[in-house]
Amino acid sequence: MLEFRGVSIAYRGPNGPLVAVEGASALFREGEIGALVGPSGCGKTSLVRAAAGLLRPMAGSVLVEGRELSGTRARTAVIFQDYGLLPWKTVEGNVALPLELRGLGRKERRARVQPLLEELGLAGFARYYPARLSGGMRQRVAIARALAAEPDLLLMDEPFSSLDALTREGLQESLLSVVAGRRLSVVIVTHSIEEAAFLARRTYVMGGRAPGRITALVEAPRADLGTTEAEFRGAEFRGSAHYFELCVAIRRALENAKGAAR
Amino acid sequence: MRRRALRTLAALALLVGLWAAGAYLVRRPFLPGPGLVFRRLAMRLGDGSLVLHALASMRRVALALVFATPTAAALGLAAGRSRRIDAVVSPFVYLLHPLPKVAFLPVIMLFFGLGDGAKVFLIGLIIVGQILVAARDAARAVPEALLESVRSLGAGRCALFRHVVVPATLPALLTALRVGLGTAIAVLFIAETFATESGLGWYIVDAWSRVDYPDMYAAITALSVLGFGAFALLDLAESRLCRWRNTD
Repeated sequence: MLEFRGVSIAYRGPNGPLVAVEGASALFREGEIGALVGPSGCGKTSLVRAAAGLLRPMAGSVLVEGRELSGTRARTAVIFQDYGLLPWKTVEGNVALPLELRGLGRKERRARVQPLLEELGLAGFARYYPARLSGGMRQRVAIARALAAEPDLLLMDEPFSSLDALTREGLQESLLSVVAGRRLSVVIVTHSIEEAAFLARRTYVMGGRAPGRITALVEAPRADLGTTEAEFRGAEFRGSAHYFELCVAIRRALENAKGAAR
Repeated sequence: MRRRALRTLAALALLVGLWAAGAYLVRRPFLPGPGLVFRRLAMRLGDGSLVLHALASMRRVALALVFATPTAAALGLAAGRSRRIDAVVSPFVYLLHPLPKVAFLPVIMLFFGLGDGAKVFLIGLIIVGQILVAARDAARAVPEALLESVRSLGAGRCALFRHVVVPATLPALLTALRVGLGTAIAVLFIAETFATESGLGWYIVDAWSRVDYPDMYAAITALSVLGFGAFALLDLAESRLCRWRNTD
């Protein structure tokens, strides 16, 4: 669970502090995927960095699992758009990195990494270096690495936005099935309306620029009883009226946010 | 790899061929042909005289590298990643780096005596400067996003150095080492022409004064082979340590 309570974030600028985000409040519930959607420059990434404990908000507080955050946290994993993987480590080495940082031995690391590689379809690529993988494969490695830390909170900053459409959809479906088997809250930052509509149960819409604000919350309908989230949001979901309505609702909220900022 | 070795061999054959042609055309004692020089080199290596001098030279360069490289790399990386350390280190580097350190050889010899200490110190001094600057700049250039992603996994300062900064800067460090090594061997030659009777530098000057040109060329060839060997060793180290950069 992740909660922002009136979070404002400022950076040092040439003419005094530059306020990137002002008064952002949001709640991402346990075991759910939530999204933050907004145009470039609205402060989405700043909120993710604050949630990861990589920066301290100027005002307000960030709560993870009910406790106020003060620095990075072992069970929070972050996936960035790129640069996340170390080019000098193999796929296996990258995925094992969080375990290595915790001081686990080689055997133990291998035992934990192997099933993750299989889960994400990377089993044959353990010895490859990232440079030899496609963009989609690299983000699979990034997901596997994030999961290796056995997180309860997974933050994703534009994780699929540099991928082509088909690869992106494949990865979105993988993400759903990965989340399905775990007690994991996911917050995904994206500028793609479709991505938010497909993945998220709750979508917070942001607007404005320096400072950006959270302006609306769009909630998706609950999955029918008896079906899991992954089943409900399978490939067919993309052709459903639910999905279409959700896209429209998010788009409208984004346009309102733009209008309000003017 | 194999293709590169073949090309290097072809270039070597061409150079030796040019040398042979030059010797044939000039027909003067101060340019003996490669055949004569290689025979002399084999003889001197066989009777062991040149081997001892080569070992003395290698020892000086190796000692300088062993002392200078880790110190300079550590200091440079620290300066590249910490503004506070950089603020102290960089002004000194800026002032001292352009100084012609070879000119300080007499002063160094007065302090360190006539033995190997002064020579090792001089060579080390030159390597330190080159590696420090390269390490600092490379450490500065490590992408912040990469550091942040590993920091988010819970890495502390030490772990960041070990998993990110050191591997990211290793290629630049090895390149600096290669450049430094070239300079080191040049300086070695100069340093060995003073106050010593060992080393290839001394042997070259001695053969020169004996007007024994084949001997002089044999020693020059030995020094060149030494330099080339060190280069090849660094290449090997790079392909081993930076395997991730091999794109083929």
